[in-house]
Amino acid sequence: MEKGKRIQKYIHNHEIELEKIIEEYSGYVYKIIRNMANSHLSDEDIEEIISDTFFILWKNREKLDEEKILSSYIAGIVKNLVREKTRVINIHADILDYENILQDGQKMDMIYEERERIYIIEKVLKNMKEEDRMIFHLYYYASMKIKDIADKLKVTEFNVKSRLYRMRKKIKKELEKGGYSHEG
Amino acid sequence: MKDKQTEKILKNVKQKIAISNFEKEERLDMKNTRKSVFKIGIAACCVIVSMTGIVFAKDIGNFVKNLFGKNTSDGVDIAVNEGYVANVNTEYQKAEGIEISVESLIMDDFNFAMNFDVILSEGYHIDEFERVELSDLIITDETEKIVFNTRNPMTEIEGGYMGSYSMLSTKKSDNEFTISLSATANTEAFPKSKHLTVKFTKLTTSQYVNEQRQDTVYEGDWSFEVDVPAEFYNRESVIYKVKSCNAEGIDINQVTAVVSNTAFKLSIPEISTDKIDYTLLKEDTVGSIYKRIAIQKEYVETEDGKQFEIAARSDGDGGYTVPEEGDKIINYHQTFNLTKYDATDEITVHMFTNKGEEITIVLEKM
Repeated sequence: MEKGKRIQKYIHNHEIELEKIIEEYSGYVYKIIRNMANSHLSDEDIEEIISDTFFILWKNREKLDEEKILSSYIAGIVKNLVREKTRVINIHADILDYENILQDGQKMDMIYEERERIYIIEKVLKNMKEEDRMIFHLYYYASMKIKDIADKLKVTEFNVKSRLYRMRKKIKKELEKGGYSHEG
Repeated sequence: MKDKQTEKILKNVKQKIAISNFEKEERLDMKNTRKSVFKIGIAACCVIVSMTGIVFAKDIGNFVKNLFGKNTSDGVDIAVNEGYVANVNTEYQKAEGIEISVESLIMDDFNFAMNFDVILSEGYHIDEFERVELSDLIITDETEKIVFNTRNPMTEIEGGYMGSYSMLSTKKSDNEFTISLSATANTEAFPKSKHLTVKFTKLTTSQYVNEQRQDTVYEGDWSFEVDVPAEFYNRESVIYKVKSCNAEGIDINQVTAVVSNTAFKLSIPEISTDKIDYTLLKEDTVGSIYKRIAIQKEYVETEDGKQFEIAARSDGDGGYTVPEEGDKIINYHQTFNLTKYDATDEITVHMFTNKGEEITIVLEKM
């Protein structure tokens, strides 16, 4: 990974090349986490922070300044996440990293609450059958149509629709149990 | 880091993205109830404040619910969260120490809702404004057509509004509250107005003292001019036709199905299918009242498996008539929470009868 690469190098057909970024920067993110938290975080926590870093980058893909250096954005996100995890206040960091932080503190809170919900949903998905998880992924990540999912998995469209319906209900129920309510 | 680990990270990130898309698509209005995020009422939901006039509120962060009061339907909520809402924020007008402005507006063929912001001067007790009505509110457009008027049993306005409506008050602070008007068109669609004139001279509050209702009327000359956004008056509802129906006794050419920005309305002039037990509908004998309801459950389903219930709120004007003669029901009409934002090229209406049978009507976009 060349530390000085601009974001525009990772944009293709107006889309961010997330897989390429993950391949090139996972090690960089890991290094920052280790430098900041040393041995205070478990491997599981580290993996979570790394995934969250790239997820937050993806969430903010439309706000990225293509002229800026990608590593600085990434560093800013990682540092906030590690800080959140370890509650460490005094961190020595390059000022350039702060300048490239995408969100102010208030907006970061909204992403954290979303991430909390995502953790709950991830747990629900973990307890589902592999085929249900596959349907969820194909529909919500790959944006495939029901008919195409049915063809791919060699099941009926009705089967796919029912499973999606059941998944939605279960997830909403688990979120409510987790303290999330529809009432504002 | 090893490739295997990178693969695992990639898989985790993809799952998070899938979940994020799921939340967005399902419009999960999920607030952590352990934290208090919003102020009293819905003031914090109106996050886009126009300094210059009407703008579209497209950047609402979390799912906004009941912006126009709890009597509006889920379909209205969906439209609001898709940005189909106008922040008006007119100048305040004051009379008898009560300042009022028109705050926000939503308008399509089937729903009209307007929020008024009310600020009370010192000396007023906000609890006295829990039940409020703008008693002689009249809203006309640039063609002088009456878009809405409060109905008064004593005086009828010719050409006046004949649909359903409600006015609710929601407290914002100790001296400020919102009056939410929500109206549903029923038989006639709301017009494609470009400009509205909003006028009223009476704000009436009602209280119950020793179980007796006491009204207090505050009088003034409140009048506002509101420009309607182009997206509202250039709106187009989507018409569907019947592709197939599994029940005889329904003339598919007579079925009307229309999807707007806030609702889906279905009308069937006559249903005489043998899937309904008509005898039960006319019996006066004591029995399960549930069996006497011809259509006991309805929902509409999109091609991607989403289901939408009936709009059981202000625009839930569903029903039918049982004629004295004949095994049939007539004038079936129902409103569902399906909107243009979720409607697919084909939609299916599922109706479950008092005989435990299912009527399925598949509709396709015209």
